[in-house]
Amino acid sequence: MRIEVELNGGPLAIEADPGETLLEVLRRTGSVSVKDGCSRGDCGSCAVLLDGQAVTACMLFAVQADGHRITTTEGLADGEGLHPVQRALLDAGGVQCGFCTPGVMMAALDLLDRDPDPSEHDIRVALAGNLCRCTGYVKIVDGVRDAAALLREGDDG
Amino acid sequence: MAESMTGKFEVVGHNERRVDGTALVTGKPVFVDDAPPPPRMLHLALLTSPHAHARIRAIDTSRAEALDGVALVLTHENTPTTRYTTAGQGYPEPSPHDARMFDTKVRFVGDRVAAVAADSVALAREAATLIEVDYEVLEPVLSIDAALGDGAPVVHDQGCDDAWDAEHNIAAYSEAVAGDVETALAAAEVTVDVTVETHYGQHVPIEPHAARAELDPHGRLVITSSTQVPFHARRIVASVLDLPVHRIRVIKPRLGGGFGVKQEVLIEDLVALTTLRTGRPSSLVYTREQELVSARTRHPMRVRVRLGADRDGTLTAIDLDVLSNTGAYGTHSLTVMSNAGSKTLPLYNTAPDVRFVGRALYTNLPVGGAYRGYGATQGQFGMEVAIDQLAERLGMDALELRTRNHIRTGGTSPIFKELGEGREGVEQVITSCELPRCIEVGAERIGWAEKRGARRRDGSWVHGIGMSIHMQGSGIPMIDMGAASIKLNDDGSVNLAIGATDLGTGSDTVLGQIAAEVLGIPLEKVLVISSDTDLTPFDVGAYASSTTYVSGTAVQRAAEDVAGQIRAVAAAILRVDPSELTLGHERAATEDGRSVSLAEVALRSLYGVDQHQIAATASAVLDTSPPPFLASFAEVAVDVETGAIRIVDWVTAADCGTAIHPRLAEGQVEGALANGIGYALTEDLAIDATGRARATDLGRYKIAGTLDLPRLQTILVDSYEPTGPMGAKSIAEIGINAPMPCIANAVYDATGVLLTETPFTAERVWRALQAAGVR
Amino acid sequence: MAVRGIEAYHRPPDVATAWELVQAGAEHVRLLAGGSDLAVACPPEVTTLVDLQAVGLRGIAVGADGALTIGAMTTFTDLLHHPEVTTHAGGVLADLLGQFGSMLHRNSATIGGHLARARMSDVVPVLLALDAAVTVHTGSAQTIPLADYLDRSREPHVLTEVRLPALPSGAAAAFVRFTRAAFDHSLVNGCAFVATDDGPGSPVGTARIVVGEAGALGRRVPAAEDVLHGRSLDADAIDAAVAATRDSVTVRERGAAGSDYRRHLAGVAVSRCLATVLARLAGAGAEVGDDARADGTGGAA
Repeated sequence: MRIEVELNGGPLAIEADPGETLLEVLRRTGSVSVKDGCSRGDCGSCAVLLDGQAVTACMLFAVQADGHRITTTEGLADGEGLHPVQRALLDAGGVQCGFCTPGVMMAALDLLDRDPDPSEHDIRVALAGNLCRCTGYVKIVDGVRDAAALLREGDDG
Repeated sequence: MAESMTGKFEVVGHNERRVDGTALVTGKPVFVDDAPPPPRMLHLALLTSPHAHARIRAIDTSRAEALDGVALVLTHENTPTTRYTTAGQGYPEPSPHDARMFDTKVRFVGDRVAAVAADSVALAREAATLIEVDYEVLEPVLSIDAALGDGAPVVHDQGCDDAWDAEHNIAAYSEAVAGDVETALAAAEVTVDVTVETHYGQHVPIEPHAARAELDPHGRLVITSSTQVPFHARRIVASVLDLPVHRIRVIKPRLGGGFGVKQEVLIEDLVALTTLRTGRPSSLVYTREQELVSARTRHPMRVRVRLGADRDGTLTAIDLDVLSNTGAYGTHSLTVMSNAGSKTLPLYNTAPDVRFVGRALYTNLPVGGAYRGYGATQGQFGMEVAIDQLAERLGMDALELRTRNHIRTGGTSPIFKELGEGREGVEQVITSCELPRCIEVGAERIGWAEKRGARRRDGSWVHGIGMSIHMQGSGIPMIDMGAASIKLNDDGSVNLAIGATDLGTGSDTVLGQIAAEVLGIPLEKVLVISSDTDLTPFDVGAYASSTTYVSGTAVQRAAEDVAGQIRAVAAAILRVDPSELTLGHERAATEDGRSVSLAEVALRSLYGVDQHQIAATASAVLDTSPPPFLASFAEVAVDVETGAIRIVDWVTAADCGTAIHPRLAEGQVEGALANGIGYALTEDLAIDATGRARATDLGRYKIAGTLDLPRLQTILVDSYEPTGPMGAKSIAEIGINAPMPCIANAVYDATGVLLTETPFTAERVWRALQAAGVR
Repeated sequence: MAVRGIEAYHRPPDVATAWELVQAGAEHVRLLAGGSDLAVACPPEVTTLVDLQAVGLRGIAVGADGALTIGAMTTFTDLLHHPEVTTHAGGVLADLLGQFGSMLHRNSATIGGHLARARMSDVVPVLLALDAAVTVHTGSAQTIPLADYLDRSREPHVLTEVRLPALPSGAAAAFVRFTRAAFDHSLVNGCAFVATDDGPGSPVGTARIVVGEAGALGRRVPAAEDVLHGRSLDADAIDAAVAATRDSVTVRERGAAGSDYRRHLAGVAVSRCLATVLARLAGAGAEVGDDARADGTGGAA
């Protein structure tokens, strides 16, 4: 069936089987930043923003997103300029293999939208559903903290 | 203490932005499964064994094949029968050749039975369920004790090559002896005898194994794979499918974590054969369950450590006895087991009498493989717990006992030569060891002197503090080879082609920094291409902590060669002797300030006079493997009511020589610790009485998340390794060895209860506390 | 992974239409109420999805007496950010919501969806202790105690609301869970609700003690409740409730951990919940620090 969403600021109409997950449909239509790490909501690699809130796309049927606003990592950078959360994570060393990074950024954006100055604990709570096997999280947390500072300073990339 | 060299470098030692960083954070299609699927691509699904041990009497694939959209079903009936090992090691692999693509026997729950190629993943999976297999279920071997038992079923009863004694389920055996351990132990004033036992854990790269194959326009097979070992993968696939190597090209794009499990050629053969048979592109991505169960694991081990010492705390004897469970196949069975000795025993080189004996046993359980730490994790767990026990018996501070006995710069150990990588090792003298400094700064930061033995109690939580010290290696001496090619472009940029495999660590960046440093150019002028068997020179791949040290040396040599060629051309332009020129800021300059840019040099060499391509290829095989060193300190709290362990604080000080990219180096330590802490506390495949893993997803196989860890503190101490590129040695593996002993020692400090069996689950700790009467 | 065999998706505008679709499709229909386990694993007979996102069941109403009416499509994030929810009964829902799932799950999982599919649950013990009722629509609406809803076999229905009754003064509740990791299913969890006749030190009028374990829903522990009735909540009373819990709680013989360990943990859960309740009653809503708050196993403080 045909679904219409706002993907990264632009309209998108997609043919989706009603049994397909949002994760599958997004990857199939080119949003491959959305990763499949476990297919059952355990790892957070497939997180996207649905109407501004980070959710695991593997646990939603694509049809549920019909009429909603979706943001993926593809929608963050403005041309050549990286979004502050991208730049801060990269420069803090919060990216190793990079496979979990898009999901981490979605959770971070959800958090920073609600709380522009989160504590380390707040950041860890917000990212509790995003598994990273590479970093031990120290530098991811630093990156989110640095992103918050950049955003507070009005840095829009 | 080594003089700090970092200040002398322009690029090395600086936290440069990663060469692949922008692509990664913008979500570009850089992983295997991200590329747009080519037309008509087939998707593979696997049928795996539900039995731990069974013979396949018959297999009927007709219903699967009849399904519309199914192109091919592979089983033992229509695939090559070459015996090989999936271990992606150097040639000849020191692992027994005991596997076939598909066999008439299955040897663990999760073993390959069949593969289906179909138009979609869902269709392939459905078809796989329609395959009917008639199994003759056999008695399984479900523990190392069962494997050793009289009359035990034989896991490999159909012949296999190079196993030590397959008839008795012994995949591998090794021993190393210096002096006379039994006599020394009998004469020792103080002894301890500790046995630890470790469990099944899995690497859990967040990207599961993925591979694609297609035929290029010339009929060559191109395999894109999430592999740590593209050159070994090419060689092994060629051998299994009986193809000439030149028909295969293996490309490794970005990798979503490996940790050793992608040093294993697990799926490339399937996509390759599917594409050869059908002419169509094909793809296989492991499910998370397959990644956990059917891929490779950390070899569970029983490690017995006996120590003898004088009353003053000088070690006199060390005996290390290892029983390793290699599971159904002997992948890395010899080398991981040997490493449990070779990376453990030299750390305490005061003892003249040392012995190592190891046996690796076949069982009908998941298969061991390469896993970050590579046996050192298990061996050092036993050793570091035993050292603490010895300290208690001596009435000596555990830190002091370590300081009195650990190896130092200028020191050596007979074990370096006695115990190598599947063969005799190489004599080595330690050329850099800042372990004393690591211990000093780590102890200071954690508050060792105040907290050790204090047993602070906070409600039901009792605090304790533990430490452990560690070593690893930097590549395998006289075996591991890396090579690099560099060529200069018109604008003064260079292409750096390396066979080395960045598995997510940032090694493309680190190797690029070394080239940039030598050539005096910024990192963004180094265009790194890596891990493509057609385009890059050979490298063994990413394992054994080899990349920075071995491949980095190759890069340094190639860059020095190119630098010499640049100076020669620049000297002709400037009419000076090349020896008067230094490179820096993208120029070749004389001491008195005359200079030409590298672009000018390149343009002259390409278009002007004496035209030639400035380029070089260099290789590196090192005759030594300088260990990095590390001291780890953990403060834990134990809930004596429930047995839960909470990590309160963790300080690690590491000596990795020059940290080429300090932030990435710290990240290696922190990631390794997090992985090790998860393994020590919560990760467990949870194998039941029938040999089936219960933890088949990441809800049940519990790796550490953000809230399970404190803010890990990492200190890189100043160090310089004279044999390494720019003074560097390795860092990626060593940290994972710390958590088990560090936590066990901290829990002992808190409660007086010694944990010897992993994982340290709350229930296990509670039972130990109950038994000891701790409330 | 794509679910094969699903042919139809509906997004009805109201509960009545949703109910018609449920009735018409019988066992082939499943309701969608947020992020869904169905997308992970779906029974083979399911052909039709009915999505409740547009039926208008998202929101929290606070009665003048403090009773809460929570629409079935309210997400756990909605609940976590609602001041009356997080302070209800001394903060027991904050205890729960801060630990329940991950933010990614709390954003999409709804209370109705969770209860309709609840197996092991951290939510159920808290709602049982708070004497929750649910409203189900089966052509007409009826409100039934949550315990009855969970016990009875599932006839087709649309769950529309969760109701938490007003609290008497001098009442508080607390929740603890024991897990391996912070983001994890509980091995054992527990919740205690206590209402005193006349504030701290006065006899316990109502006590509801609930314990849950992996693989089973939470259940009341009447023996533990009985020992508390009519006596002052103090250390001795807590010990007696713990002993009664360990004597009477049903734990399964098999599971992820030994049954003796789970029985022991059930006692610890009751002990810690009651200790926190005591502190909350004494503090009359004053802050209870992290150290005093009962903490589960695993996880950093």
